[in-house]
Amino acid sequence: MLAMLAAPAALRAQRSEGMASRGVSPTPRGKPSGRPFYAHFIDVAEQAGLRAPVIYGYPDHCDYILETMGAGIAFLDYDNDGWLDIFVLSGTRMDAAPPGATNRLYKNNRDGTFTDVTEKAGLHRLGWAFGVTVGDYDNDGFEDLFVTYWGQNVLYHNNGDGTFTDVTKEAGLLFPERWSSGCTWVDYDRDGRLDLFVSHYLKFDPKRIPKTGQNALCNWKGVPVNCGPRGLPPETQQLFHNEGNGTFKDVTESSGIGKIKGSYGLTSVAADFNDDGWPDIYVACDSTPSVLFTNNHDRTFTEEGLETGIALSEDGAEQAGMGVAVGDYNLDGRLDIVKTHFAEDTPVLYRNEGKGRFNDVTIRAGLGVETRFVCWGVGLEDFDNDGYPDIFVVTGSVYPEAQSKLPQFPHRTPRFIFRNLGDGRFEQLFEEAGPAIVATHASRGVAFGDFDNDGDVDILVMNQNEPPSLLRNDVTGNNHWLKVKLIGTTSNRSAIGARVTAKYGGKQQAREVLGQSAFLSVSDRRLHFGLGANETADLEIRWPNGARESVPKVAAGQLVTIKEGAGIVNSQKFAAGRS
Amino acid sequence: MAGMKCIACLCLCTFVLCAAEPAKEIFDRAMRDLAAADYQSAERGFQAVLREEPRNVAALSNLGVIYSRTGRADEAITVYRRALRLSPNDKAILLNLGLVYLRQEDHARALPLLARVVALDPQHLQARQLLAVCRAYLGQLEPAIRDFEALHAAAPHDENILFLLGFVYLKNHDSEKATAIFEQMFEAAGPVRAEFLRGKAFYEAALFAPAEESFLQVLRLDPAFPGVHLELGKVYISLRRNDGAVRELELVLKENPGDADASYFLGALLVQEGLYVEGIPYLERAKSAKPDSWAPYFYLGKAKLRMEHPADAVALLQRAVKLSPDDATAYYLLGQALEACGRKSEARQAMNRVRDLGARARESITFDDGRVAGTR
Repeated sequence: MLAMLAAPAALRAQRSEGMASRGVSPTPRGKPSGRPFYAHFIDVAEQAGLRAPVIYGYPDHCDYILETMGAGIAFLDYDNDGWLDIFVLSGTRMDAAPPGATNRLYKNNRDGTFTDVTEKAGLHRLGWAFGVTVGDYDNDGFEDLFVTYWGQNVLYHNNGDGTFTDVTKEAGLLFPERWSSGCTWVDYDRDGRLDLFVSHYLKFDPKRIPKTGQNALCNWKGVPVNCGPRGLPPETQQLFHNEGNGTFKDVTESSGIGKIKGSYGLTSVAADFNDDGWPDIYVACDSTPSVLFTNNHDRTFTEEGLETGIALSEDGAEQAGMGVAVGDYNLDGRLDIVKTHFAEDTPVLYRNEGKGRFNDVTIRAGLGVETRFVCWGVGLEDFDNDGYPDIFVVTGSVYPEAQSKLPQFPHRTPRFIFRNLGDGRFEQLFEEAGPAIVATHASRGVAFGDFDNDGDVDILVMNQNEPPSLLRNDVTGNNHWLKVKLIGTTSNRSAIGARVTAKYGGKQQAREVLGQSAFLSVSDRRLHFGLGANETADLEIRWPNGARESVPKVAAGQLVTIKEGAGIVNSQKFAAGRS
Repeated sequence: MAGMKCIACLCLCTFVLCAAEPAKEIFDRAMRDLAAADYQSAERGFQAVLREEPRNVAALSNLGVIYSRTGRADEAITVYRRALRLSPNDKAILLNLGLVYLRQEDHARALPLLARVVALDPQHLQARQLLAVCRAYLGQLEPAIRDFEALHAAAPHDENILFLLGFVYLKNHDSEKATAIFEQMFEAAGPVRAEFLRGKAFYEAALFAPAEESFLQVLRLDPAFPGVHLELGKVYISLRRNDGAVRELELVLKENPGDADASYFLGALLVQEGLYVEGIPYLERAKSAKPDSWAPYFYLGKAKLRMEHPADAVALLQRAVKLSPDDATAYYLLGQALEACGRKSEARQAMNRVRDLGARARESITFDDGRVAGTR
């Protein structure tokens, strides 16, 4: 009767627990390439002055899903001095806030150290912060901040003098409190002003949800754990139009964004995924299909995640989507996507096939070898400057109480890199990339940027109940690099949504200026291109308002600043870098 | 599952009183044909009866039996449902329809039917067993355990019940109780068969490493034990040890080239690993042997889609979704295939069905009556 003439168990998504995982085993690892990897990471957070732990729930148990999710982190240049500063989001604890539980702004002292300027900047705030987006919404030349919360979201206007002002109410963004998650600035109507997209995770009331282990869904491999997201009411997304006078108008319904219900939305990335010159919005969703809002060019969107192939796994299984990286791993000039998932599942690599269609090439690309960890923030960055973007992932469990009964699932787990082999495949690296990669933490948000201005890509990581990690990249070898900073004039000043395609040695690599990526985080606005052995690159820029510009034969080894309509307005060689 | 051979074999002989003489004769003749396994003649006969008497429950039910036996599950479902509208408390029809759904692995649809049988006849052993199985597969472990424990108390040496009770204990992460039950199974079934059943219980509970150990032990005790290579092949698929899986399944097919299960699993594995050309012949054999099983159509459809034959994929996946109308993954691939054929509006319909099925699945697992959500 019950001859199990069905797909073997390993191929079916598990529905018996609180989150989606396909329950797959890793694919066999191939032989190591043996090629040297010229990026090397060491954690310099302590010596840099990043010593305050990021409070987010308790380190040894999580009674509620709220405590498990962690937060984003940001690299930004808030004072326009050309050096990356750091903004660290913080949570708190359910019963009482411990001292020091606040978001923090660290100013770059330009000597490898940072100073905590949170109080001076007016950014001290206690609460369950979640995501951040950085952008100059009023085009006054200074980057502003929007932070999501379980609670009231906050818009901080950068006053240009080292301080910020909470202008949430004045901006019309005071709304009934929800658990807001991913957020991104996006000029969806190409009017030159940054609009705001906000995703929400789930409806959460700690007084009403079941306690740990109280329900079949609140168990993981036989261990009682916190409940959710499955079983808890899902949420929707919102879109706010920048009216140009410091206020925002809720256009959720008129834009079509509000039609999509029933998602556990997390990281939100605005980019032009179908190459039609208009920004679309992709939201990684946890245990529900991820969504892609395709821009219709008329201030409305159509949700097409399933149709484009980036909502589910290759075979149509839901996954616990958390972090998103957007970049061009195969150098075809189109933006590909990497999304991270739960343990016993793989990260996914969606290859952009053009015309807004994607294929899941995870297994073919070699990413199926890793299924041990819960994966969060992710980036597609060229760490060794060989001209091929690599993948970096941070990890960390959500069930600290499980590790005593299930030691094969520790709470703190290592980072890892998938280095790009240049033929469509990746190989996984751990200690080969330096001791900071194998260090174990419960990490969530991650940001990528060159904090020491030496011509490579460093990494900033949010760790739960520990100080952040600041992974300084000490690249060796002879590969060249180029960084591009864009300033909009007719387009939004932050140039969010601008596309740069660098052509070098017969290859072309596309990158876009993003308002959010990784896991609820913001990376260096300066786009980094590794060029390999090439000493120059031709740059094609497509500005957010659709205008195009070409800048040929840009020499490697520098940061060029390109202003819309004016070409290169500044170039800067980095002192400690290799060209 | 082992020991639970349940075939829809209940023939209803209720006689239609107000039929004209010829209808009675046709009915009787169809019954004789059915008993002789001449299904084509029997089918013609019962359909003729229904043309005269569309509300003839016996004819509808016997057609259901014929369709079930000849692998036409969707037609069986249609006639059984018609029969139930006319005779909603007919235990035999309820049970047979439940069995059809169980063969489709549609435990959610089978459960209420079987529950109704048990409500009408609390001593109906087969329905009680099947109901408990449905509950186990639907994650309702505590009621399933209660049911099986009650059945075990009534028949402590029944190896089927021992197997099922061991399985639900494993699924409930209660290894101590499972071990105790397996020890009883050794006494009831003998060491080799007991080890085999234990391996199957581990497999059904997704505990693949201990399942492998059990089946390897069976091979040590009796290298020719029937079914062990197939089960080991399935375990290796789940453990992603493809070489081992291929080896075991090929052993089965060497012994019996027509084995539908081995053909299916080997074909599906090859397709899943991207070996589409190699996998297709096996899946074709599985499809011929069990034309109403959705899974060969699904994997054949996937293979054709990946080989860029979307029109072929559409036909296969349409059959898959007809046989398994609640499988979102089949609709997803169908949507992709329709999109590739340029049939965009149908593709969108398929994707909308994926969305609906997902939403329905989420609604079915909310914690309570909706009062969980609140604002701070």
